[in-house]
Amino acid sequence: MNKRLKTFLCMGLLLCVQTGIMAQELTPVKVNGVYGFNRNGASVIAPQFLYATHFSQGLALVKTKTGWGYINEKGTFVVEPKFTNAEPVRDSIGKVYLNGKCGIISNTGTVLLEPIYDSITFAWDGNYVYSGKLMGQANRNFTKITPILYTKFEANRDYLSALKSNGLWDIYYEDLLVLEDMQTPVTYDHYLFNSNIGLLKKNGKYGVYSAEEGWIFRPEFDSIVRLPFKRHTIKDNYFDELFLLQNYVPSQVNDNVDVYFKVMTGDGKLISEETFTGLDQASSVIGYQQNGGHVPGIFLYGPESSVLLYEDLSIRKLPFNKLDPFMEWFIVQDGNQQSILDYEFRKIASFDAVSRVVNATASEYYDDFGNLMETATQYDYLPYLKVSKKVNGQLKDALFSLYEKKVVTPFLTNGSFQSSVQGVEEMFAGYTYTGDESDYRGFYMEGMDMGTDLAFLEVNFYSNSRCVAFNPKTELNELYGIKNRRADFLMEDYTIQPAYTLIRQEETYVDSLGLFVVTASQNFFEYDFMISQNIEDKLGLLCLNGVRIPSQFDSILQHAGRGEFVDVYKNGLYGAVNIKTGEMIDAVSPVPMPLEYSEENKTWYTILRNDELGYYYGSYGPIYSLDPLWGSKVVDINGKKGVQVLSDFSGTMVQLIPAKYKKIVILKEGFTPLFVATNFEGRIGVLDVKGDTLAPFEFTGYEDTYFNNEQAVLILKKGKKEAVYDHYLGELIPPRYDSWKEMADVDGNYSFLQVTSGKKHGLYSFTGRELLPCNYDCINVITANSEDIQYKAIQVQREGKWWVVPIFVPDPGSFYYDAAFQSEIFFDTNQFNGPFDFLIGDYGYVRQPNGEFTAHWANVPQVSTPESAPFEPVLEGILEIFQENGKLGVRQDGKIVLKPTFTNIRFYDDSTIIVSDGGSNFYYNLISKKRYKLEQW
Amino acid sequence: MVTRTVSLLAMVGATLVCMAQKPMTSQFPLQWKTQIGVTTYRTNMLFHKGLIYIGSNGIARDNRNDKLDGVYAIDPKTGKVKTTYKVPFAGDDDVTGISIADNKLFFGTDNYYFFCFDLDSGQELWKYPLPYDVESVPAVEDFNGDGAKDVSFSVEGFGFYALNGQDGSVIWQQDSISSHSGNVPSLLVDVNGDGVKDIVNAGRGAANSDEIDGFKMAHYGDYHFALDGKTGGLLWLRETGAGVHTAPFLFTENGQQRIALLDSYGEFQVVDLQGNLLSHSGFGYGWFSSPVMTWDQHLLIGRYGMVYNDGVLESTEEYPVPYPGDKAVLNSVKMEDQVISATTMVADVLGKGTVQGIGVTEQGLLFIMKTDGTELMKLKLPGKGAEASVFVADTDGDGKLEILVADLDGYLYCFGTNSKGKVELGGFKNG
Repeated sequence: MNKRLKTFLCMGLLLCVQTGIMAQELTPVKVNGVYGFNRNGASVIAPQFLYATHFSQGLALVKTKTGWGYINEKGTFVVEPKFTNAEPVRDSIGKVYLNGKCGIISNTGTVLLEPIYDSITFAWDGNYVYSGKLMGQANRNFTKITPILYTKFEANRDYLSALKSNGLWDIYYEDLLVLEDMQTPVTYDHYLFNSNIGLLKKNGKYGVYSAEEGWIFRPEFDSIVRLPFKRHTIKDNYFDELFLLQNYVPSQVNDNVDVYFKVMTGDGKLISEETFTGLDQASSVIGYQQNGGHVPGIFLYGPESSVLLYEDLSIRKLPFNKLDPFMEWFIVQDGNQQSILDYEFRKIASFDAVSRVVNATASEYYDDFGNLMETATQYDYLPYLKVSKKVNGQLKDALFSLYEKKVVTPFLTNGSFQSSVQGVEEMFAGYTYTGDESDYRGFYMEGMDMGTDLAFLEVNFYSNSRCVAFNPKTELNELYGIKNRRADFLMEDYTIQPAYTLIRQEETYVDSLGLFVVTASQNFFEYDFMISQNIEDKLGLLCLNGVRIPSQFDSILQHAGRGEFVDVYKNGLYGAVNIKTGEMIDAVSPVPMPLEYSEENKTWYTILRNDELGYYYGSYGPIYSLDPLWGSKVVDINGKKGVQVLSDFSGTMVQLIPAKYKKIVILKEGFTPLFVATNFEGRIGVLDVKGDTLAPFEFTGYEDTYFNNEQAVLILKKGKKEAVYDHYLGELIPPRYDSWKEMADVDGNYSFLQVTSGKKHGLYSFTGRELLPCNYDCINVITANSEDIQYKAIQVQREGKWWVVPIFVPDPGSFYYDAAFQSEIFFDTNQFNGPFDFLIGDYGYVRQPNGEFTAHWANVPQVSTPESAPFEPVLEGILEIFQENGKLGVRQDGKIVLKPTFTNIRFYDDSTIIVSDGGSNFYYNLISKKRYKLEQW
Repeated sequence: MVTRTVSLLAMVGATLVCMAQKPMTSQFPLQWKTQIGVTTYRTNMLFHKGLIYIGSNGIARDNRNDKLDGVYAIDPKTGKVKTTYKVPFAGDDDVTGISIADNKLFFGTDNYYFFCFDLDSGQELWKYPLPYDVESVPAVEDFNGDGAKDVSFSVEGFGFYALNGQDGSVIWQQDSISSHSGNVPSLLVDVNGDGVKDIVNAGRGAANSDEIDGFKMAHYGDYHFALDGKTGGLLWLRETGAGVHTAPFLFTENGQQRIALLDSYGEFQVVDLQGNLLSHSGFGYGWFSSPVMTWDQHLLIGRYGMVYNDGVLESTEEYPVPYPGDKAVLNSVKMEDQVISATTMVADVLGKGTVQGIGVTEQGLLFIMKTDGTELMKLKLPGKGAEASVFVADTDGDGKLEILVADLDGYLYCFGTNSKGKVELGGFKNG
């Protein structure tokens, strides 16, 4: 039986017990045809009633010859039996019936409602009584009742609106009739959000009624409009409302009706006595910029003045009566001039005229049905305005940047400005403009201090602030970027277009760098370099770093595998260009060259045929091929050894390593070969596939081997010293230590390289990073978290003290394990916890001046400091670690098994403990009672 | 493997229409009709000692002091009311489910009381006050072992009770689980093998205290469960996804007793007597009509109000029952703008020698189908339609079956048949 079931059954039992308690209540019993009441089987109220129900809330409904009534538990009538029927008491009341009419009594016997109603119902919003087709409402405790002359009630907040047969409403507030003959009830739509204020209509006009104050505004308004008013600054009142008390006045200038309104807040107060004629949501105009802690809410424009109503309901008179908002700015008439204001109404600039920039003028067209239609003039919604000033009496126009707060084009007579967008997302790119009766155009791109002169015919904008402008003088297209806030000439050619317009698109490619955009409608090459085409239809390009590859190719193609390359095709052969760097691989291949990047060699290589590799060595020279497994061979030229490889392109052997060595051994164990060369001085060095020197020619012997983690390494001997080289990373350990070893922790994981000189030890990572200098007496790598052995701690001992640093060492093969992460494992002495006098397991102990010890959890980044205490023996099963004269020893069953000569003891399992101290570092088997060196683990 | 096909009487907005149905009386002549007031899908009819018994919600369900509220005993030959059993005091005295045992009539009301009347004298024997309405069919069984039938029922929104049939004293009360407002009729079956039938019903976790997340039960949701008939203790429970309005039923499969459970969102579970789930399937939303199992292992269920998009689906040999949307529905009787709350009865009202399914819609159709769901006929009832299940029996003793329909127009109709066929399931909670 599960726990839930048990609980359930227990509860059931409890309830049965409770039922037993109920059984002790008075129960109606029928004896000889009449009812009395028993308790526990004994008669309490003698049988005398024609009928009886159970007691409920102290009363039982009983029937006598005279009718139904209610008795108390003493059998006394609380409500005399005079009713023709009745209901048991519930919720402290009972319904009684007399001659077909219904009334209410309380459980104390008080008649709350005389039985004069056709029916009485109880609802969540009140109690209702009915007589014929009309109804009244009684309050909750039936102490007040409205006249019974209504057909419907609407209860909202503390208002009760009652509809009369004539369609007008009476309004009750807290059971008192406060208004009569209203045309509206107080419903949700008619009361104010935060107060007992109702919007009511009488005689066709709306007014504002307060339960406390009566009419705040008499019903004299043509309408009252509820206006949502965001008040972000007011906690728990995110949305508030304003009310526009409106009156309609026939316009004096046309047949329209002008609206004049006052603005009332949710508590029935006017924000000002002014009358307004229009409004704007300020947030839509000037965002949420605060002004001295006030957040703009609504602009209210009036015939005389305008104000800004802030969200905290404070208002600010505006310096200009009529504001023409545009984005975050305003255009205002400022005397004879027009000024541009920012969102705080500060004047930015003034001109003879300021207007929005027309994007498209109104035009006529015929729709599908032949109707003449007209489009409206469209304006730019960009942070630029057209500004005009009089020069020698003639109005000249320029473009004004609102962000830069300055004119960014020349002033032109009859200047016209056309904004342009670029890209599928239609980002704003710039403006072209003309004027001064010129046939030519200038251009302005965002970021330029000033647009160009009118020097071009056609201008096209592209991404990354590039534009191509046709220069009528040279009859060439010119590519411009922006440099030092000016238009920067980049190249010219017969045609210049962005790459995606000219490049063949491959359907399959490895887009490892995410350079291509694939959309539902099209795939396009987004790498926004530009391609030029000369008059002979040869193609060139401008690489991203600005390297210009002159037009010389028959075609430029998207590379099938690598986004940063394009294939270039010339004279029937393919080459490639790295469009990021401008590196060019000569057109030497009869087929497009697949390209792969070799992390090991930091270079690109190509595969010409399935089983042959070719290497492109970038800056090392022209392209040739190299098969690292068999394509290279040692050659002897005049008694000197070098290495040649078979070029896949030329089919001939080409030199890789010049022939100048006494001996060369090709090591092919790694993915790329290494060359161990011996010079004529008898010194050994290592060359990589680029011919670069990996290890200098200073060694006398070598061993090609692997670490336990399968890392391929070369051990190079220099006298008695050894250097360790990784095939790819190069030197891991320099040849300056007496010895080195792969360092295993007790879990058998090799995490570090330990170096030793004399009696001092240091630590290297497998990536060759020197982690600890070689000046520690003892270094241990321990498991810091038994749940995850990747969390380790390094314990170091120096001058008798211990320090501990927690580290994360990813398992080989784990997600985190790679050379890059390994290189991140480093620490310095600042990160060590300590010094500690003892280490016992995960704790470090520090002797205090008073001789007591503090114990610390040592394997966490920041140690905690518990209170000082005398050193107490540390128990682990039958073992006990004790301290004596500042050293630790171990007792088993009270008998000393290790004398107190150590400062670092940790338990490994039931039979094994590991002890460390400067001169001694071993593990002790409690069963065999023997010591073993850690290397024997 | 049992062939188990589901025949849905789907209320579809399909293009098939039920235009110009033949009137009921063209097939089954009206014998009599008697005003008894309205009934609900929880209403059952009993045929006992030559009289038809039925509870009434009166002229209208919301009425108080409704003169038609009560239980009616009706002469099946004439339709005349022989006896009415009425609550003497005022209030909402609607009666829905009724039971008869030991010559006693048991019923609860919407006036927070449960009553026991002497069947013959019509006198109230005892009553018990309750926290809310009782609408389900009371389950009668000798729970306390005194040799007399006792009664168990659920109180809407509250717990479960077992009252001593002799005097109305409480045998046990279980309100750890609140009854669902669906007022599910109990299935009586001896789950724990103690010789006393236990109660299989449905309900939901009830608010009780703040101690355990505010609820007595870990899951404030809906359950099927079994209560010990002797003690009211919980024997097992199964969570289900929605409120339950349908009655669980017992059937036998390969000699083993099984309990079928269906919630209103269509989760159909088959469990063994210990409540272990054997199979479950989803039928989609809209189940008030209780499922019934026919002799040939077809499941008949009327569906309430939801569109079911395909009425003719392939039969299946698979068990457990797959989703009807896949292939479980063998056949369905399609109707337009009709909903069904009534449970389908199984009887040979057409005299064909094999039983048919007989059901009614709330919009006034009586339909007859083969047990595999194939439609045989739809007939227009003279009244408004019915929530309550029809009652089929030879009530007047002429050897032929009658079909009784408690119509929403407030009348109980008795239609004669020419069939002397057998009745597999003649009334809701009657077999």
